[in-house]
Amino acid sequence: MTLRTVVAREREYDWGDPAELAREAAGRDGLSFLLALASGEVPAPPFARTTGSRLVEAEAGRVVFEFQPAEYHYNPIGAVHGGMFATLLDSAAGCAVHSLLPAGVGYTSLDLTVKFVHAITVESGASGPLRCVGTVTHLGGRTALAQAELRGPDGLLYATAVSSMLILRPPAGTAGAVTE
Amino acid sequence: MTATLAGRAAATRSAAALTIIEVSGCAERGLVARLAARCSPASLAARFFRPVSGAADRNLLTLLLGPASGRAFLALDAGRPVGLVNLAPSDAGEVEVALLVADRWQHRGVGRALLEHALADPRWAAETVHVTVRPENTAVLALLHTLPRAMHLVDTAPGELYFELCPSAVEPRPSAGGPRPPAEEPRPAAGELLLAG
Repeated sequence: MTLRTVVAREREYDWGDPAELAREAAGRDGLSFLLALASGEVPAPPFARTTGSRLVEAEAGRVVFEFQPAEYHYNPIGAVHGGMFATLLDSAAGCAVHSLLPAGVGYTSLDLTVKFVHAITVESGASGPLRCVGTVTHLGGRTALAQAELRGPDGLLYATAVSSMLILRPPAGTAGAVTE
Repeated sequence: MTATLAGRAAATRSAAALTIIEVSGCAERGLVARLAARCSPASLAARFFRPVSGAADRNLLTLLLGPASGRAFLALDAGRPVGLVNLAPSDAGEVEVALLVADRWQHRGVGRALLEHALADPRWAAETVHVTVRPENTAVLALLHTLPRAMHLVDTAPGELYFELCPSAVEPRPSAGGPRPPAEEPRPAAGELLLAG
């Protein structure tokens, strides 16, 4: 069997120190940190640089990511990999919850249920980036639930997801403990 | 003067006059929005464990309606929305309960009526139900201890107490001292509330 010669495509990108970014996040309330990310005041996290996605809007309980599909997102069968869908949906859901948290309070995803509706190709973003909107549907003392939708520039729905998150409050007496 | 009398009349209305409906359509969305307008920033902050500005929080209504996978019930007093309970299930077999009562209807049994109605749903019988309460919220703490199936303190965090209601089949047996004695007098229920979940 003979393998065809592969024409190489190349891509270069960089990223900042993630530990520095995490320290910045810990010192601010969620919404102000996300607004700083969206405005470029603080650098994008490594995953965003790797995938070429970016946070473009943030308000209390709702965020929007934009994503331009490219060849380097493809799976072996000619479309954007499902993990890319999940990455965007998880990011939008998680950041929506983050936008409601006071400084010093963290969160972690417990689960993510994704519904794939349409395949994404490079052509899906021909007239503009796709948008992934995350919205919080429940905020409690211990858990939060959020939903996310990934749509094309024409409004076509590509995927939805729901996610539950555990809210992580600092132990009593530590810096950042919530006293409100 | 007229306003004061009207307020007093509303405040003395008992929970027996309440009607509880499920939030399921556009009409109830409007009622939930009206309830939010009757809640002070302090009550909303207690519900969400964060400062809330009703007018500025564009997504407040979405949060109060709750997830599609859950259920929400409204308490109406003569057609006016006075309380809301949300049940938010996760995929892990757990349900978080959150309660909100309009300021003027707090301590009148609205929270108890909502919580008992919501937890009577057999859908949750096999799930672990969680409630989070601030330690200073004595009305809700009393309510949790005097429910038909009392909730148990399982964890704490700064400014928060976590209670749990185990599935019916594994509910802890009463302590050696016997079942918890009833409260000395019926507690008016929960208002200030809230718990959140």
